[in-house]
Amino acid sequence: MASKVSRDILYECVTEVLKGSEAKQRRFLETVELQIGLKNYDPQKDKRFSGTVKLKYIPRPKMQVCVLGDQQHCDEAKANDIPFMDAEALKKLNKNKKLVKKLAKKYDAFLASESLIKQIPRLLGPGLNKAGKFPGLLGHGESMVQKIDEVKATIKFQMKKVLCLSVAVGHVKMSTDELAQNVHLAINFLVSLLKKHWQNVRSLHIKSSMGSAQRLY
Amino acid sequence: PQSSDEESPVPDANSCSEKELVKLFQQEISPASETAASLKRTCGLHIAQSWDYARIAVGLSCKELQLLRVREGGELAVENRKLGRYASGIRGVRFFNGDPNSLLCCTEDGNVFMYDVRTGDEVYCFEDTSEGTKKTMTSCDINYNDRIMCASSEVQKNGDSFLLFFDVRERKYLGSYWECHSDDITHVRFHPSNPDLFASASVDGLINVFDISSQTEEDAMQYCFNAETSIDSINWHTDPTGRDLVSCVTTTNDLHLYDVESQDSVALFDRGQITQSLRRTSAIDCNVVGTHNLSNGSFFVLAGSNFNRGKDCLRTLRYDNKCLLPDRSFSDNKQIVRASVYNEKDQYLIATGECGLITLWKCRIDGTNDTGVNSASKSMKQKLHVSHRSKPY
Repeated sequence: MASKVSRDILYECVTEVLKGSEAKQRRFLETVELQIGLKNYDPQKDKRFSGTVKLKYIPRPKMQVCVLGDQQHCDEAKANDIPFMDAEALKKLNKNKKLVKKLAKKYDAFLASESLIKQIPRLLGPGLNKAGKFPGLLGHGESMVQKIDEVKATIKFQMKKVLCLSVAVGHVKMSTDELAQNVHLAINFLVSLLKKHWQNVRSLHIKSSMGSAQRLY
Repeated sequence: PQSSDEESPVPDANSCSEKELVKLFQQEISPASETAASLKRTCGLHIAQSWDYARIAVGLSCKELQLLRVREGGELAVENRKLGRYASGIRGVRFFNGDPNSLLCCTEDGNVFMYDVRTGDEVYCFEDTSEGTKKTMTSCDINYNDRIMCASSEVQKNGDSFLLFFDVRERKYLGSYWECHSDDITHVRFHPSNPDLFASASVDGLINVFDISSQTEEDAMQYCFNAETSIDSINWHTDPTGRDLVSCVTTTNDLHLYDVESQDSVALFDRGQITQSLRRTSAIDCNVVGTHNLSNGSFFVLAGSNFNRGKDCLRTLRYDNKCLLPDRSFSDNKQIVRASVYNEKDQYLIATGECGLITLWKCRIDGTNDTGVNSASKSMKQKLHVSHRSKPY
């Protein structure tokens, strides 16, 4: 897809962001965000836009995913050092709101086998719904590790009423190349979400948590 | 004036020849009737039709509610240009299921207005009288027997999003659910014939199905479908064996279809696949408006392209056994369509959109149609669309 952000500018900005974070090291892993300013978009009239896209490199490496699995998936999880719970373990929570809430807080996301996902309302009640952590489907045809990496690499764009939004696209320990690729993918996807594509984009910046913003467009 | 090249990197176009298009979509159907909602610039964002198909109500972005008559022959006539005028945006318009003269309109600031369309009077205003601040509303619907009305809300400051229930006859607030979604609820739909069954959809990617005859929200929550991406709208369908299906259109113009009882995903069409079925080239310009049920038990999808401000493409795709098949193509469409209704009896498609026009197309193909294009094809497909129902009077 043709982009209005040249490769040179992209790499320049990414380099600046990474340099900036290196110059002043922080006690935590800084996230790199893509900040978007929109134009020609009326939240009262235009269709709401929001969407999820899988990036090439994992932007949040510390993300914890827990598998709610059938026998096969639990075995696979165990073999791969992935946190898991089976139907019995879920039943033990006894639909206790506090315990379900605690479980929801412990992990960033959940994946569940088909047989289990259908029982979630019965087993756990609406606790995971409320926490925004209802599990995604884990099939049997795919590698669990791959699916988890997919979940970790997926970001969500969501327009909230004001004409700007930001989304995490990486972190400062990534290479220039990796970060640039993630940013490029994110921008292309964003533009594809907008009705008038580039005509709806006023500005694009990237910045690390503590660094200054670098303008891409 | 913006050049179309700037709008999308790969200009959207038909992906096959005109000849092929005619073969697939049979013919281009011209509008039978069209009317402008207003002289000032506005968008038609919501549309509803009475069960007897006699009336249409349109919710405009200028915060006005308009009433139209659909006359014999499909002619549209404005009956009440300003049935309602509001301080905040309209978020949903619904006629009652059993009463063609009662209409509901919900607004962003948390009111649901009820009208008698014969007199144009506002009969009642349902207000959110639940605890805390008045919830901003996003959608509303009324159940099969017109006794319960539900309005959904945006996510509030404390992180809760609400489903507010009202008793229509007693005219009072009944209670709410607030535990099943974690973000703006975008759409609510009651089951077409079961007065207790109800579905809600949200930006959080979930479709929740409830049996509201249960005592608590937790018990009411029957099924949960995770589309894993923000949902724009939902609809109920039945499969050929009579099983309940629920579909959703996502904010990225994908269509998901689930079998409710088995909770299986029946079909998933992403915008690329829908674009292909439509015979267009640019997936990022695809605009899925919604789905409509056909009297023979199937349903169709109404979709178009945003390219050239919606004028180039407005078509329907028929769902058939996990496939979306080319169905109808509508010509002389002048806008990006945002809402539509389908009259199953007369086979009229009525749509409104971003230019504030309300357009009626007759989908029925018979020997006497007035589109001016005589399709000489005697294929089975054409015969299926000829109505065999006799008129009731």
